[in-house]
Amino acid sequence: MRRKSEGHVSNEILELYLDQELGANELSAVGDHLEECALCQARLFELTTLFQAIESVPDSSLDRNLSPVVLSLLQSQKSMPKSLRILALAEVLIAISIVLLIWPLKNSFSQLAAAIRAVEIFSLDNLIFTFSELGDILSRFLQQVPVGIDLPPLLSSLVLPSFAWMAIILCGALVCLGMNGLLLSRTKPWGRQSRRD
Amino acid sequence: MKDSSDRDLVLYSRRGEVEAFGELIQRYQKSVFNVCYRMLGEQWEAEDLAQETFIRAYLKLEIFDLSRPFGPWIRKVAANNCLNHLQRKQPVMYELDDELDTAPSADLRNPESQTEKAEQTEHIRRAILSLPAHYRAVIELRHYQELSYAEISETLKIPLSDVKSHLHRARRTLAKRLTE
Repeated sequence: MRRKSEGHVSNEILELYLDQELGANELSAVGDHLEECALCQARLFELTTLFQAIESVPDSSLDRNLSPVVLSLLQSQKSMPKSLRILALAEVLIAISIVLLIWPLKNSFSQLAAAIRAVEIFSLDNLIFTFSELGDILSRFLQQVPVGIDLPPLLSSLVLPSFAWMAIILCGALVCLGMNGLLLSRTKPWGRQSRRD
Repeated sequence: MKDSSDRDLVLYSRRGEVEAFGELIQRYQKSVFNVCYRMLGEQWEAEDLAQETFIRAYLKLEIFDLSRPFGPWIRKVAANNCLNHLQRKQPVMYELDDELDTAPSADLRNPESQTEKAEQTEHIRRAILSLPAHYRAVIELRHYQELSYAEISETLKIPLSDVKSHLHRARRTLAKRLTE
């Protein structure tokens, strides 16, 4: 147990004593010391007075009912109804299905991406230029376009899906759009309202 | 609803019956407001934070331990909420002679004889509000909510040694300010 150099109990320990946070041995040791030490008794009294002063602050009255405001805020923040959650889940499933349906076309997409990457519009060195250089950069870009993009061969290399397949994907996309509209119309905006009356 | 126990009201609230939660608000709004008022010192701010506390509590109802009483739990949520609020905003230290936005005292039966006591109360309140936020929080939890050091440590998610040192420093500062 920590004590003051003169053999008295430190204020930290006295606080633990008052807060009943000492172990049984420490508690009895402090109790024994307090019985015979007037100085520590006086300091304990000071601390007790301080504790009583802190705890003497009375409760203040609340002059308005918080319940209506809190409940209205909770209503506005309530999660989506079950039907709308099912709708959202269905939308996610349709979106995944569409991704799976168009997955075989990934080679075509990668060809398209490669063709676009082949066009070097600006190199990093050209990002910083003076206004007078702008014309040069534009003319170089225009010269590069026919070199980088060769659209007819690119289009002919794309594997286009069958009409039925396209129709399924299109219908899925339209259903998704419709569901989005429904979800947006049914859900309230998630805005932080004022909490004051 | 009025005759239901807190535990039942929590269960109804979890099922989505907001009226049950409304009853819980009615029961605990005064004590939650007082936690906020002691920690913030402004009535309007305390009301705002009390409302926010109830909203947070509603969203956390699923993790509330039904075997424990609701009152101490919601007051701990309030203290934590106020501490976070104080740490987010610019620290405002009240000087002892600052005038506070005073909420009326609950006991106004003998206004004349209460004047001196009211002044003393305001002096203590201002002294507490002049403390840094985390000192205010430990004073609130120890002296007003009567939590043990271990419970304070758990509530504020700070080590036990910090609870002891914060309390000691807060009390030393209060003792000094109250005798100035």
